[in-house]
Amino acid sequence: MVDLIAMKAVEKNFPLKIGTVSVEEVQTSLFTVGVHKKIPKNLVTAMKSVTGLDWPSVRQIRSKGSVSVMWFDHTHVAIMGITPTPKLEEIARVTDVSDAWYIVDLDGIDVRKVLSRVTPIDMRENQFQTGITQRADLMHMQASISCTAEHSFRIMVFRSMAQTFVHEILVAMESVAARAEKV
Amino acid sequence: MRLPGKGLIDRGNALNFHFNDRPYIGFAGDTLASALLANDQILVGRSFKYHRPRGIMTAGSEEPNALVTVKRGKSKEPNTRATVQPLYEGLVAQPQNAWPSLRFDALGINDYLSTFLAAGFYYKTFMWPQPFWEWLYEPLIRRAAGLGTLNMSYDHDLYEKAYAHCDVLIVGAGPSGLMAALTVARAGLSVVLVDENNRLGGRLLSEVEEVDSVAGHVWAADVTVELEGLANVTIMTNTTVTGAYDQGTYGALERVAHHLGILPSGLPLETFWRIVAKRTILCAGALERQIAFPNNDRPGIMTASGMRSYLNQYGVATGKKIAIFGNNSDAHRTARDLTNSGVEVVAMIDSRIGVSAIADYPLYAGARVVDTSGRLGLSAITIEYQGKTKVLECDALGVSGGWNPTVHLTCHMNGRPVWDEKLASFLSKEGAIPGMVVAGSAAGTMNTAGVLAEAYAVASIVIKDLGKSAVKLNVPKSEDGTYEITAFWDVGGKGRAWLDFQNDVTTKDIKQAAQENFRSVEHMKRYTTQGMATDQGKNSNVTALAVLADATGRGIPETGTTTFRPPYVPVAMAALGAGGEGKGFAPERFLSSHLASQELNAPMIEAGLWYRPSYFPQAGESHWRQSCDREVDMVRSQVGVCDVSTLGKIDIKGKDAAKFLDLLYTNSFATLKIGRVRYGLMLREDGHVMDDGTCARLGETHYLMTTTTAAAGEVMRHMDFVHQVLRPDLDLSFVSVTEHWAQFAIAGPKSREILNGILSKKINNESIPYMGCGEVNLGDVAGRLFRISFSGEHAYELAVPARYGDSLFRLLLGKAKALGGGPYGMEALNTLRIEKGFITHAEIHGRTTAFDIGMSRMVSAKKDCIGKVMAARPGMVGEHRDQLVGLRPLDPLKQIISGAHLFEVEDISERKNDQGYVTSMCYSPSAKSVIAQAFLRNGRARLGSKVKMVDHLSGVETICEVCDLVFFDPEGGRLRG
Amino acid sequence: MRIKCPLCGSRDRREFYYQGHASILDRPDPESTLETWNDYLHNRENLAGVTEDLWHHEQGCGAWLVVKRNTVSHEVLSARLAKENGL
Repeated sequence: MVDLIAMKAVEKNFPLKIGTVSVEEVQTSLFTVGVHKKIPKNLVTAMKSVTGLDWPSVRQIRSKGSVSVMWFDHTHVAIMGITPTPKLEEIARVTDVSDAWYIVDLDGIDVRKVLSRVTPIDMRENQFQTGITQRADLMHMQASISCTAEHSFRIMVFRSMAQTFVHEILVAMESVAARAEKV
Repeated sequence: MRLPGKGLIDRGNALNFHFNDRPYIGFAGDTLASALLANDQILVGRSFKYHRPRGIMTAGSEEPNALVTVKRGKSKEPNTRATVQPLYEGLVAQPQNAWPSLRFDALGINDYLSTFLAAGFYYKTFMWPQPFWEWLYEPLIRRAAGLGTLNMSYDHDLYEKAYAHCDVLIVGAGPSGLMAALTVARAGLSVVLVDENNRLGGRLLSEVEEVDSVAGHVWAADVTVELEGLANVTIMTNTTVTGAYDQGTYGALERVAHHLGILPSGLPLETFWRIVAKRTILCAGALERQIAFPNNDRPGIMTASGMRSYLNQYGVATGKKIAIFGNNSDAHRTARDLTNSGVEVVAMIDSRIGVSAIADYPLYAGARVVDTSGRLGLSAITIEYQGKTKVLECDALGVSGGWNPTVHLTCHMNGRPVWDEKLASFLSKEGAIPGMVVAGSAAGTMNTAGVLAEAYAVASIVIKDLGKSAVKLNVPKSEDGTYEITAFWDVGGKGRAWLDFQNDVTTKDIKQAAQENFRSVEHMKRYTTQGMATDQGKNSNVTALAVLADATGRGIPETGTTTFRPPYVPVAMAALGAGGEGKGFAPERFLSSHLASQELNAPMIEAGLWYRPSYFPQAGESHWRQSCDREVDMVRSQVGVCDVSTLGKIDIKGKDAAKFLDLLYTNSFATLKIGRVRYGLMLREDGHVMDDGTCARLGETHYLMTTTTAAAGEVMRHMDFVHQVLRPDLDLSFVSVTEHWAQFAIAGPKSREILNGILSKKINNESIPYMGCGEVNLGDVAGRLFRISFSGEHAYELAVPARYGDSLFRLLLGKAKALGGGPYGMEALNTLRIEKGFITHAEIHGRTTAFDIGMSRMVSAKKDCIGKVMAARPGMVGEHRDQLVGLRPLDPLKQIISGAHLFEVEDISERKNDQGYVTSMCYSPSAKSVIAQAFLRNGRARLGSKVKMVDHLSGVETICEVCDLVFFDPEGGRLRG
Repeated sequence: MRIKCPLCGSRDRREFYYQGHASILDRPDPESTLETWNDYLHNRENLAGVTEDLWHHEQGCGAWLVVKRNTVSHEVLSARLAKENGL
């Protein structure tokens, strides 16, 4: 029998820490749920029973343990960390995009400073609070950026661009760290 | 000369530095300019045109004269203003524009030729004889032109970009900026406070007046400490706001590491910030201007306020015997401070009458400076006082023509400043930049008490505007003198009086421009180059236009100003483009098979952002054509494997999915059976072809569309447009799954044999017929199989989740090798498709229609689709159209060149005889001939005729036969295999 | 320049793709005259002042927006979803 081996998109020894910020690859599943206009009531119920989480509002990410539901774009929410049941697939437009996205967690005191060097969005603590998820430009890449704790963010970019993404993040981390040390 | 006990420098921390190859010593807290002045180095450079000896003129970023080249390790930065360059241990700086030496400059000859080099001289002088321009004049001018020289090697310094957001941006941290920041910060709003210098305080650092009963710099330091302690305040020092843009966006240049001799790894030299603010308070202060008088450019002559800065902030007397020349009350402070510091003030020359001294110095009221002397440094001035001239020996002269509020940023969105007669200056127009208010001397308030009160008041309004309640603050007590000025611009007289010091523009040039009818201030600027230097005329423009106003008999308000444009200070290209080099220019997209292809030494070719293997060279192959021909033969005779994951893949679900696709594609997809794939053509609304690809029906309400690699992003945007904008009533959702699936073409007679060696369940012609698709398993991994072909062979595309792509590619290669097959790259892929007459974006390049490419029949008559109406309009169909045909040279090995044009054999090959052009070509191993695709006028009616291909660039001419597009297996029997 | 996306909030212009005037919302009936189609596709008022045009929040939520702005003052007055509702 054929035995295909899963490979990572970037060959690096994670976690990597520079200054106060560390970056770690995340292995998880990701499914989008498409909704065109109204959110059907039975979908909200079914999502809750699959994930144990309420339907996320715009730019919201809800998490319990390793499972999250998140607003994903103007027509999708995403389920992370759990495989949807066939019943959910029956009533919803579920698409497996687990391998489409390269996912990392960034943590550390200076994490917002690091991200301010790669994305134009407002990284201030009172503007980008825990539980908010945003779609944004990240060095020309379409990214999903979620604040999971005051100094923690989950970043997603397309898998094929993972190497560029890791490179850009490391450059920004080095710069922020070097500033902290400069005389 | 350094004065004992004065200044804010750290005398315990001496720093060694070199200027003009000579060693000097300064102190921490010095700028290069203050350290040079402390060492009595008065001569620092040469002017641009006349190569006149020049000294330091100001103590700020507006400096026109003191431009030097700073060398640091491998890097060399020209045009660094010595006045903003912090001193560090080991600093090395060189003067510019001087050859062979600073003291003796060969091009100083220009100064003696100045009569011939006046404004516009090059427009007039170098006109004739005309051929001289190219070989004599231009090279000559180019050699002499330009400031400083570039380091021609790669710039190894790091530059960075970054974004900041705040409620209130405060530009400038002088007394008004500090007061505004304190007020806004205490109200709980987020503040970004930006200042050019490395220490906050602005003019407070240069003045002796007290604030809140302590020295101004002490008050500034206290406020700085408080602000630093507030979480809602970000202080950015060494940062200049360079431009104001729409919706509260500002550009700012931070000089991160110019004060360091050695850059720590990872630290950028500069960061270019984009700051977004709800409100901005401009507290940029004011800049002192010059007065024009003969020979006012000698080293030792500087602004009176600059002189005061060097005295009070750096403890430097810029001369031993100093004179001051001014037209306003502020100039007297320099005379007073020098006198009180024990420096000899030989004269305070005030152009006004009826004024009195504010300290013990000789005052000449109603007097003026009419000439100066001293070639490499000032030695004496001639003054006119009570109708007589008098020579005064002095080695430094401070000049004050009054203060110009720094309104530059308020003009960046086309706001014109307004003339204020009392101040004899321009003030910003209210609301010139939405969200920006101006406070302090930038708003024309010229004493510290007024500045502080105004900053507090303006900040309080901003706080209320943003919905917070202002906090009650006591505005500290400070100096509340009045600023008195009587406008006085130009002394007149015989000698040359400089305005723009860097570009060597004199009052004579302005008057000449007026005489030659360059009366508009914008014309005068371009004719004379006034204000076009790196300092953009910060201390000369207003004086220059006053001179122009006088010469043209108009008032200053009618004359107006030139346009202030970003950037406020020079910004290195490297800083502007920071983050845009290397991977930052564009992300690199790699296939899951990238590593495996690299291991096989495949050269990569860029396809959009993707990197795809061109070909897979084998031992003994020294030319890509050898590899390509072998790979084509391999696919035709055995089997080949190619990564095609770059094609766009869009997953479409919903009850109206079929309706939606029928609107997008010219042909019908509602009629497509589940488990089948169909080729589809998409038009733009203007009737031209947008893209083509296949679309599979995976379920009743579930489709999977593929797009070309090139148009994947465009098609996705188009689909979003059609759905959201044109047909939001259609109930469906779609999402890109391009990146989720690694997809491989397995093409050739033995393709099914490979698949049946790896799929958990074997396939046959019934389970997966031509244009069929289905779910498959590879061990535990679920995949998708499509029987489609871009090669004309019996072929499949097999998709698995991307994480398994590498593994599957290696597995497929192993199986293929056992059957005499292997990988093929983009070159072979292209040859295979040209042999079969398939098209790419070389053919559907945006100007071709379905008719042109011979696919009219794919536009369904039964339904509407995007582009259908416009594709049928007159002109889009008919004999006059260039139609896609095949070409082959009569001699099968003659060249055909993509992009080359086609002509009738007997015609002259010129534009008016043009009959079309070649879009794609290759050598076909299958046809044993060069073959091509081309658009030819009424081409389909010309099969069998001959045309002449001419490539005018390479001079190649080839006679070709027009033939059918399909060169290989025209019946398509191999596809169905 | 910044646009306030109804879903994402105030965002930098670099996240948006510009399409053109919002008149493109009203696609003519396929039976309409060529003149109508020609107007729809090619002819624009090009007013100095308030205009509405379509922008795609391509680097953000993917929504098409109808943005009202002033071409003289550069003021961005409003932005709404072209499909009028969304997640």
